[in-house]
Amino acid sequence: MAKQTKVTNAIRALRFQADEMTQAELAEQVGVTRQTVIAIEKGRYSPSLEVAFKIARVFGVPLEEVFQYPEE
Amino acid sequence: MSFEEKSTWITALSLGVVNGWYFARILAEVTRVEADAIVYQGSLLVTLAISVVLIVIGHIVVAIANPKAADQTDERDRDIERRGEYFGGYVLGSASLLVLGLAIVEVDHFWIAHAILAGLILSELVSAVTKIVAYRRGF
Repeated sequence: MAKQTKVTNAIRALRFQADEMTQAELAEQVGVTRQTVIAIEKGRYSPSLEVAFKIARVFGVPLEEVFQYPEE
Repeated sequence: MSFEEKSTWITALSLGVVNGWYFARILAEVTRVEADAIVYQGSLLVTLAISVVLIVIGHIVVAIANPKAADQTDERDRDIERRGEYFGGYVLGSASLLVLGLAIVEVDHFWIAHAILAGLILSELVSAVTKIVAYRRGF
């Protein structure tokens, strides 16, 4: 069974707040495939730091509003 | 599915089906005839050629169906590719050691050729399965 990342994210909510942006639109702005955006939202893939920052820039919010990591 | 994932499926299915059929046939042959008497070279090469043709056709079909997505790869595709190659590499390495052993004890080239072929096909299949699991379940 593949290990899931502990990183969670609020991308879906942020997309809906941003005029109901689609996964495809977000993917295009960030430079990844639509399937990768889907995988990130579902916690199946942890993006690189660079892609994480790009996503945050698209929504115009700080990184930790997009991605959260649990306290130990 | 991303283009790269479709590509992985095409490769895995083509190699698996075509070579599976070839190995089934050749192993049936070996139970009836001595290995050093089997003329396998033509069949083996034709099998490889068919595999390649199927893979190419499969990719063309997928690319035509969605031209914009064709050849789009991103960091996730590259990470998954790397992971697939890592595990496939283990298989290839093990197979190579086996073949080395076969060569040292001087078995008939029939067995050496088929051990190498099996190693190549298995390593590609392991690589493909690893990638598909990573695509579907995450990693």
